[in-house]
Amino acid sequence: MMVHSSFPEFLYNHNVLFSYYGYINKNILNEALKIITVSLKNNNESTVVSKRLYNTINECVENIIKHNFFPDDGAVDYRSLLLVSREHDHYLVDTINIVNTRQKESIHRKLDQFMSKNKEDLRNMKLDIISNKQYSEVSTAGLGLLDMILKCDGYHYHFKNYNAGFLFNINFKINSTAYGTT
Amino acid sequence: MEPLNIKGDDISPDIVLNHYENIFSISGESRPENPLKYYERVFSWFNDYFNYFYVLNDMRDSDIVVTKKLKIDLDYFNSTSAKVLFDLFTLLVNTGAKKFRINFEIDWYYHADDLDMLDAGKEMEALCGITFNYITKD
Repeated sequence: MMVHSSFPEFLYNHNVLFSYYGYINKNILNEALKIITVSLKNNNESTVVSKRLYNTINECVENIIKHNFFPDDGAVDYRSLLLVSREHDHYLVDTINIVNTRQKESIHRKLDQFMSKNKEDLRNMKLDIISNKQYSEVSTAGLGLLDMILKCDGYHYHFKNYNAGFLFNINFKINSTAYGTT
Repeated sequence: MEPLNIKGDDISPDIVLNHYENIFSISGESRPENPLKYYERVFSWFNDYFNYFYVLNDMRDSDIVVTKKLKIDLDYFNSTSAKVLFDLFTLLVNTGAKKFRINFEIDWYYHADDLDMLDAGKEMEALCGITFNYITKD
């Protein structure tokens, strides 16, 4: 997890495909997806891996933008970090953003619940949310997370005290070799 | 009633619903800012179409059952769009097929090596009870 090591150390030890630190919005997301897509294409990465990375980056950033992984304490532009890197046989998608105590508890609860379940249970949870008759931002809030967890090959998250709030770091691992990367 | 044409962009799909030419298609990428709002006109169009079809049948004193195909050719759709697509397929089954005798089948396009997209279609098919035809593309 990135918040355990220093940022320069992380950059030195990983092949960074994309990094951004600042206020994250849809424009940043679109640029990130374009750059990553070109990079993966140049590396002849497989369709499955490329699309999983695409999905993970998209859902991670959408979670930051939309699903309240963002302090609700006024119109303050908190900076977030998006980092996509490659290490030997897998890719890592890392995000770091600031959350408050209430959000930390909510994220903790959700992720702990997901971690206690096997893939079959998670898949059923995902289908339950999709088929829930009442559409709302709240009802779909966990859907992106679930989808990423089901498609990735591992994930970690970590909170670290930061001023009055917390730094929330989550990273998703996506294997490349299993799908015949050239 | 008029056909519906929505020109998409990098984040939103092209939508063509043209009953005169028998073209029903959603294609491109689906991760619009607000998927529910983006697809609102699609839901509205299908509801109008079902009523239009009903009136047409009534005028002809016909009770024929027709089968139509909705082409879903998406390179990517985000999790919120998945929810909206489910709602659309459910509308086609619960309202179109059951109430108005229009059976829609889904032509689900996917790249041959994109197994996640194939799985997504199979999940939707099992969930909605609508017939999916799986079509590979280059």
